[in-house]
Amino acid sequence: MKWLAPGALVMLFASAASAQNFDRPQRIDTTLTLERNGSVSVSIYSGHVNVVGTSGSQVRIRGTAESDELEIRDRAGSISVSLEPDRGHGGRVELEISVPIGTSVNLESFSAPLTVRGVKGEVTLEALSGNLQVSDAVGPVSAEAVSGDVDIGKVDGNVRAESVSGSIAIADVSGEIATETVSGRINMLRAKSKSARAETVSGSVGYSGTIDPMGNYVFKTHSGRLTLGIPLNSSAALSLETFSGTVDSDFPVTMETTRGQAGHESRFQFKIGDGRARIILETFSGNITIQRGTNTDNRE
Amino acid sequence: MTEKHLTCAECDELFLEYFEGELDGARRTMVEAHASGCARCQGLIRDLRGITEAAANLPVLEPSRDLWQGIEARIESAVVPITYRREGIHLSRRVIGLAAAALIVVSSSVTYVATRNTKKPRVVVENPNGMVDPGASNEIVSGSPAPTLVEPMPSPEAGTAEVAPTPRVTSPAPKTSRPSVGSAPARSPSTALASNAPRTAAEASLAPEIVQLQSVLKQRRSQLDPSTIKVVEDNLALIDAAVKQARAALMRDPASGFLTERLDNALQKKVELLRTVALLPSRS
Repeated sequence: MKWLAPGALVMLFASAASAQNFDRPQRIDTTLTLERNGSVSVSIYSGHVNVVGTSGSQVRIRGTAESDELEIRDRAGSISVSLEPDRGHGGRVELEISVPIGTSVNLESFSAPLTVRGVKGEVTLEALSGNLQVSDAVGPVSAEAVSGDVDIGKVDGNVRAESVSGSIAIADVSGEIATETVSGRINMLRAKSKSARAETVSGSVGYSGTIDPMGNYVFKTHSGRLTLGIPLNSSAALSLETFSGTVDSDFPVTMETTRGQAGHESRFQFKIGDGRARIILETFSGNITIQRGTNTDNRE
Repeated sequence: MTEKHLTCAECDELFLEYFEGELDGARRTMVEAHASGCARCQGLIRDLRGITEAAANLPVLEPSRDLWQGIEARIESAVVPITYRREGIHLSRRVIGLAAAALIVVSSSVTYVATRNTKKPRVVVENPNGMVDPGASNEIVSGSPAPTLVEPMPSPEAGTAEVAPTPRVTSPAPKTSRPSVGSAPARSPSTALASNAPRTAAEASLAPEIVQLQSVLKQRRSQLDPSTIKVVEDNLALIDAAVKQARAALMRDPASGFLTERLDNALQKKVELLRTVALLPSRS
């Protein structure tokens, strides 16, 4: 496969200085033009990357790099910044990047925190241990970390967020939410989602927001707490199940409790309003709390 | 013709067909054009190509007999053994790692096929002597030898028996008593005696993959950052504790669809974490 089509403009930015001794970080300051709805990709090892959306059609990349193998490629509709493949991880790279509003942004790092603000475009973030932060994007937004925390706010579109041990905070999302962790807690605030799904093993799960009449909401944890905050006028059929936890509801509940053979497992089903939306809350040993209002904050 | 610029998400949708060689010229060009300027997709293509090449060097992989029986019972289409090989490729350490990842992909595909077609949870009681415990990972993580994958032979002497499906409520149910507790078919005394621990269908099908992935993790241990190893160990321990709790509860209430699902979810989580670890970048 040809990696570069004829006519592609390639800028080997920092590699020109490959013979130098990098006792000091190398300064980067370059401006490129990006066509409408183009994409910017960055792949580094450590340091940090901050991307911010601005008006206009230019991408400005500023910062420092300890590596001599940082490479910037500019091809019509797409700009990439990366450490040259197969040349090791290099040193720290600190980048402040401004991109035209509407740009699709893809960032990945090993340990660097990644932040994207105000791009109003598609965002994809991946990091092993760095924290990930997105605000003011037009979905889909995807963020994956192993130990880093994920913080996503103000997204008009779908959001997918995963972390192993990091916490996930999602606020003001209007699209579908799909999120999971192993031990990190999951908190969804002021959601306006038609569909939300959260799963964790030991973390707690909190959802506060509107319930779409035709929506589907599934929240599961093994040992964490489940907290749901929904408006009084919601319309939903709720199915709650816990093995050894408790259930506490602000809503009047017509309960049907079923116990398993071991005498622990409890299942509750009830409706609020017409009961058109479906809400499932399941936990093995955690407690379930359902509150009126959408000010529920799951943060400790 | 004006060439459309693909986003990474659009490329993700096309990668499968791209690697299968099923894209038409225009779409193939669009994918390659995007990748030429996108570090993420470039890396993805490079890795997937490496996996594809490494997979060609893997030995023929056939599902274990017990797993195959489970698959056969659920699907109609035949599974074709993987026999495609490519000659003359010298493997680097990186490619060997990717080959391991390819093994995961293949095995997870088998698992996916097995579990996708499992409409209802089934409790399978097997000879405890022939069981692999997918919930035990600590000895792998700590670096001791991987447990031997045991393939229980389905014979009457082995005490393998299946219990009828446990009803599971997956949507708002009418206000009737839950059938799983009161009306689940009781196991026969002989079946009950043959079992020390129930295994769900998902558990049985996930066990081989977990063993393989634990082996990959053991091999990759030295390549990963110590702090990453610590996170993985801690979270595998949490999952194993959840598996243990769910299994213990399920032993007391084998007909519970809820507990079956809790156990399956925990095991699935373990597989996902191990897959993630297998594909993590090395520290050097």
